[in-house]
Amino acid sequence: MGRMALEYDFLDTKTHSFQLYAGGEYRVNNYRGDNSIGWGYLHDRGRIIAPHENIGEELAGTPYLVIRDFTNKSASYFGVATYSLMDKYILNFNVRYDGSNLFGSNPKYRWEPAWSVSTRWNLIDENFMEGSIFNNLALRGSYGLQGSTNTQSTPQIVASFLNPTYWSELNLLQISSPANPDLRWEKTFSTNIGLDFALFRNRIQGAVDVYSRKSEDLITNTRISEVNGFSYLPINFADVTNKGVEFGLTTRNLYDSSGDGFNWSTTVNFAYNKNEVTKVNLDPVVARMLSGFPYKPDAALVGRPLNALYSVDFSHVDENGTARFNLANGELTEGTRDLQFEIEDLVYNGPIEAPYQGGISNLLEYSNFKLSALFTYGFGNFFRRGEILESWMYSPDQNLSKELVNAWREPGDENFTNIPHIRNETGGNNHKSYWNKSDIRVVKGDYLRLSNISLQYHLPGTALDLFRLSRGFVQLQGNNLLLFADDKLDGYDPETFPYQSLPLPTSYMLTLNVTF
Amino acid sequence: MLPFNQNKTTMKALNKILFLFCLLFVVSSCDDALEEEPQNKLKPQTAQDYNELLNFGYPTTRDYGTQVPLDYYVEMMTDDMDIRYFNQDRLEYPIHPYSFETTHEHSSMLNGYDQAWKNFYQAIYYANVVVDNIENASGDVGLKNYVKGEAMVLRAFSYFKLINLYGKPYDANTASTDPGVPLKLDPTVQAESYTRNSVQEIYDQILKDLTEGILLMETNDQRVNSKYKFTPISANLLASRIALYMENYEETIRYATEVINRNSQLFDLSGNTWEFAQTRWGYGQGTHYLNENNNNVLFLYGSNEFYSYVFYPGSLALSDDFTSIFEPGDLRYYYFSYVKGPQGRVPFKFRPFPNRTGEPIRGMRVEEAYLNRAEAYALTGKLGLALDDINYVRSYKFSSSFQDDDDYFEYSTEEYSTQEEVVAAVREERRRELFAEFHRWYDLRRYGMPEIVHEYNNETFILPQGDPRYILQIPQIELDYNPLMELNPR
Repeated sequence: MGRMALEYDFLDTKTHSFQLYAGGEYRVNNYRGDNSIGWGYLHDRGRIIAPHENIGEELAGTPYLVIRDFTNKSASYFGVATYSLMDKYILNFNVRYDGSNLFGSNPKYRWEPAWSVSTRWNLIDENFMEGSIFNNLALRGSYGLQGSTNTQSTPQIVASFLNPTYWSELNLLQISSPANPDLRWEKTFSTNIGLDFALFRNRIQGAVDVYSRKSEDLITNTRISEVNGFSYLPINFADVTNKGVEFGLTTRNLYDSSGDGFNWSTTVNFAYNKNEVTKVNLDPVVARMLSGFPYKPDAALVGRPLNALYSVDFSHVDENGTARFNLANGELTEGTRDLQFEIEDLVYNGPIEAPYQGGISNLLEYSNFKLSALFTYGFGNFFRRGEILESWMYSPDQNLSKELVNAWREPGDENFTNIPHIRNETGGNNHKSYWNKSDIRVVKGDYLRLSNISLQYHLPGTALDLFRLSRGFVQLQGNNLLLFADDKLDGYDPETFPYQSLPLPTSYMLTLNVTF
Repeated sequence: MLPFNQNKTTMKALNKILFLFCLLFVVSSCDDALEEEPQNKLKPQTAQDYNELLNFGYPTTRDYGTQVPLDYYVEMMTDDMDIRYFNQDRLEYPIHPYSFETTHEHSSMLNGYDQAWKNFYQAIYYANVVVDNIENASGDVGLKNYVKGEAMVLRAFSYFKLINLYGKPYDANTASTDPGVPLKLDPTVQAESYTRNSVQEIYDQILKDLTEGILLMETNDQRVNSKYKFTPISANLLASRIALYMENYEETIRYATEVINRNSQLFDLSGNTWEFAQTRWGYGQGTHYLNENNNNVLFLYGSNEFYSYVFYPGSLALSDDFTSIFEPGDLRYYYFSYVKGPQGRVPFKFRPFPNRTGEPIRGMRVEEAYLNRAEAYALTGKLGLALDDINYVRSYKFSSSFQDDDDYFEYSTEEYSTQEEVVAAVREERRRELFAEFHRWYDLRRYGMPEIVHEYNNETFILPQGDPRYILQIPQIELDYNPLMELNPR
């Protein structure tokens, strides 16, 4: 590793200051690793190796030794220029380039650039602010670009060595990534304007930020026509904007300057983000649009969020127990088989990720006690519940959702239930799979959660002296204690559900912390 | 016995001090410092590199126990097959093509969708890479030309398989308007839609690749003896099959004769007795028909994915319609089929050894050259020559001691006097010789797509003559990701 930095103060007077800081770094990592697998190793029989006679047949082609031997090289260089006028007006320029020796990478794209310009105006230092209620007031602004590229793609064919084939013993070279000369950088342009403030002798402190991030040429590994000989290819598929507001406020509601009295402070955070696709180079695929889980680039539509939930428009269950759906032309689907939906037949339910998010925390202090509580919230997003119907084969040992108790069984049931019949059906009977993807399965993701409460008791000075401690406290803490969310989520956690992971567990902790 | 796993790792960070002004001010010169050092990757440069790329391109299983699913489902739609005892818990899939559903695809098939499309287009991609780039590679010119020719033959073969799965059988009158498959001849990979070229355009390309490829291979012969690669002789056999499918009988005869002149060895069963065959042959006996050591085997590819449909109880068996065409003394009947409980008589061409799943069991054999030529002779009125060819094949397949009369199995122009009779006899011989080797479906297509009747569980499924389902639907995954793809009518 080599590193170098230069710092130079061109100017340093009371009114002007100009600093330049620049540097570079070069890093080489050699990696050598052997991984050996010993089949038939008997650890408790004297660590002997006793491979079974059939081992050749069973494990044909399985390697017993894997050698990894490679070198990673990376280099980066950066520069920071700062100019400040009377410490009130500050202008900052930042640039950074990173490069590495990824195999097959296009020399043109070997270096990833990032630069930004930022400026700050410390209003509080202006003469007209003297004697105001403010203790701090500053206006910030920045604009910058970040570029990144896909490490798997190369402008020319790259082949990998494979084992000779088992049957023919021919040597093989596989094309691990096809030539992809058209792939461009992912670029993100960020604009940010912010205001920091503090007033009433710092009883109220806060910051507001408004931002706009425009990402161009986002890269995704997309499914492509198999006519290509490959099923997936990284492409620049879309432009996306993120616009939003972030707001943070801390108030000291009660403040006892003596230090021992009652203190109460509150922190409120709020964030709003609007994600919108502004350009797409990929045709949306109905099947992918109906998938309920996030990050599905081939379902992006201009004017909608990148991670959006779409559904088929459920109408009713008919007298045969068949699910019927509304189509864009005003008609209903007929029958159980070979239903097909076009993009315009789908309804847009909303974003999968909550656009409104935040938290509220309160801290109460009295004497040796400290009590804090944190609520978090998010709202404005939608999910679809798990798929409970299958067209074929309910076998006796299969676990089924208890919702199916209410499924349609005989004519007349359609007046009470929205769940189609659960009889076995073959092949192209897909009305039930579309029912799984219909809007009656959609629930709101709004929630309010009591994420954390903790109560601390700090040992008083006498106790500390007695045990010769410099510091000590006892803490009782509870996490994820309460959750208010849509009943229809049925026990699923709105924060983890779309990622198919388990609900956040409730936990309690008692801590004794001492410092000698 | 558990494997132990040991990791020995040494990490060394090398300290290098570079001339840092280079880093700071002259970016481009630093690119050398970031030169890549691959361990297991390379940029193909030599003729040998391209040869090894082409080896990967063959739609053939590479590792032990893995499968490269191709057109196994076509066998389930032929009149050779029957389902008597069906166990859908074990293998649900066969009932779907067997009952002629609107598409041959079903979620219960291998990997959930039809992968023949993908696997043949992957072969085409590798062939395209080789054809496009090998001229600029370093190495022996002869090898370069040969590998290029081989790539062209592989490309012709892949398009030939695709066009016969998803396009109409070749008909010179309508081929230029019949939708075929997308024709892609360059190795660019892009997220674009492809449209279908006409059947004629595909066949034109197939013929161009075949003629040029065979010429390049023959004039630069490298004496390759691997049966997992096309050789000049197997390329000629492929050409005779393609000419037969295109009803170009002179060419069929010419290419088949090329093959026969170089290799006329057939798989010989004639030394066995009829009694021995009836009583002693069964599971696991004998050399399997497409063993790479058999002299009659010219080319092997694919994998053994079809085998599970006869191996697991409750699936495909041979139909009575088919088994009834075997004559006494024909040893193939016992050598290549056996009775498997309530399932009935199952095809058993591949004789897989336990643990040999995945073995490439598709291929081309010298027998086909005789059968191709016989059919072409018959259809051009050379009846005696046609019967000579099938009699030659039959002499290797019938027990020589079954009757005192040495040539009891031979056909003669006295018995078969009209052209129709001879053509029918040749085609019946083809059916007996090549059954369960993925020929019958394609043969039925070129015989005019006759009606097929299947029965299961007192239900009758009929594929009427000339039904559009004789042309398979384009795989759904292709329709999903290629919006311009035209569907086949139903």
